[in-house]
Amino acid sequence: MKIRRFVFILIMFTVVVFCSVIVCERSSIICALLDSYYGLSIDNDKFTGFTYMMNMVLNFSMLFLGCKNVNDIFKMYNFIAIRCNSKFKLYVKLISSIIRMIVSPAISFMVVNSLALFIVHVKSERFILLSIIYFFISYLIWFCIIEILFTFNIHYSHIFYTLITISILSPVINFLNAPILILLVPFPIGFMTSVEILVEKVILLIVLGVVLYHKLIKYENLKIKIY
Amino acid sequence: MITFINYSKSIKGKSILDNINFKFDEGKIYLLTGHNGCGKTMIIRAMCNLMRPTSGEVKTDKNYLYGAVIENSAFLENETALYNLKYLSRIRNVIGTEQIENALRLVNLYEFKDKKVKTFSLGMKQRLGICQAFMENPDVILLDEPFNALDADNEQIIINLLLNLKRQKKIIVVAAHGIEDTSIFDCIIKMNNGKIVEIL
Repeated sequence: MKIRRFVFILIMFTVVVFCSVIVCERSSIICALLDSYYGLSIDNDKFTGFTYMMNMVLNFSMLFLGCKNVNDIFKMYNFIAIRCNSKFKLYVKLISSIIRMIVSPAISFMVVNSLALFIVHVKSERFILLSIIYFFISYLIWFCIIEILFTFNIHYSHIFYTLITISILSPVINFLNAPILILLVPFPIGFMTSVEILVEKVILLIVLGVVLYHKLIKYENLKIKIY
Repeated sequence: MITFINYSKSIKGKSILDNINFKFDEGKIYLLTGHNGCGKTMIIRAMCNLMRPTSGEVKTDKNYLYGAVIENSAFLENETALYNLKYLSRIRNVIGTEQIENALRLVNLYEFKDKKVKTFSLGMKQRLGICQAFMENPDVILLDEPFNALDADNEQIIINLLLNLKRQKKIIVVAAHGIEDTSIFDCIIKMNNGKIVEIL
C-alpha cells in the first residue's frame, strides 16, 4: 500500500510540474511585456515555476473542495427539497449553498496565494531566500493535500479528473487573462498577479457552476421534481 | 388525510408503483414493509411530492408540512451537527436554535451537537437524520429504514418518540423490512413489485 501511495504521489507531482512548465510559458510572455513597456527585467525562470506550481496546487485544492462540497450538498438533496415549496426556491438554495461553500475556501486560498506572490515579486532582492521558503511551503501544502485526500478515501480517478481539467483549462485561462493583463500593465506586478489569480479563480468557479448545472439536469431527468 | 388515488409511476418503462389506492389518517403509525426494491421508498417520495406520478394523484386535506428521512441520512460532513440542522432549518425559517437543541436532546445527540458529522457513527447519523425530520414539528413524518444501524437503546428512544408524535395527531409512515415487534404500528402495508398486496 505504501509503495502504491508513493507511486501515486510521484505521478501526481509529475503532472503538477508538467502543468507548471506550461504555465511558466505564460509568465515569460508577461515578463517580456513588462520589459518592452517599462524596461523591467525579471529573472522569470528561476522562481516563477514554483510560484505558479503553488498556484496550480491551490487551484486544484479549490476545485477539489468545491466538488466535494457540491457532492455533500447533493447528498442532502432530499432534506433540502422537502423543505422547499417551489422549484425556484430549491434551486436558489442549492446554488447559493454551493457558491458559499466554494467561495469561502477559494477566498482564503486566493488571499494567501496573492500575498505570497506579491511578496516574492516586490521584495525581489530577497528573492533566493523567498524562493527557498516558497519551495518548501509548496511541497508542504502539496503533501498535506495528498494526506487529506487519502484521509477522505477519495478515489484516484476523481483526483486525476480534476488535474486533467486544470491542465486543459490552463491555456483557456491564459487566453482569457491576456486582455486583463495588458490593461493592468501600469500597475505594480504584485497587484497585477493578484488580479490575474482572482480572474483565474472566477473562471474555475464558472467551471464548477457548469458541473452543478449538469447535476441539476441529471436530477431533472430522474423526474424528481417539486410541484 | 393523505390519499393515493390510482397512483402509478414508471421509470424508463419499468413500473415501480402500480395503481396504489390508500388513505393515510392522522394520529396513526403506518408500516410499509416488503423486500428491497418493492416500492416502499417510492411511496414515501410520492407522499412528500418529491416524485411526479405517471398517472393518478396524491390528494391532501390541507397543506401539510413534511419531515422525512429518505434513504441514507447524508449531511455536510465537515460541519457540526448543529450547523447542519441550522442550515436546513433556515429554509423554512420556522424554528430557532432552542428548538433545534431540544430536538437533539430527544434523540440523545445534544452532547454531540458541536462535533463534526464526519466523526459520527452510522447510528448517530441515523438519529441526526430522524432529528431533522421532526425538529420543525411537521404534520407528516416519513421515515425510510429509521432503525438501521441503531442499537436496542436508541431504537427504543425512536419508538418512544414516534409514539409521542402519534399522540400529537401526526401522520407517521415508517418504511422498513424485517421488523420483529410490530406492536407500535396501527396499520401494516405489505408491498411487492410496486403493489400493495396486503393490509393488516
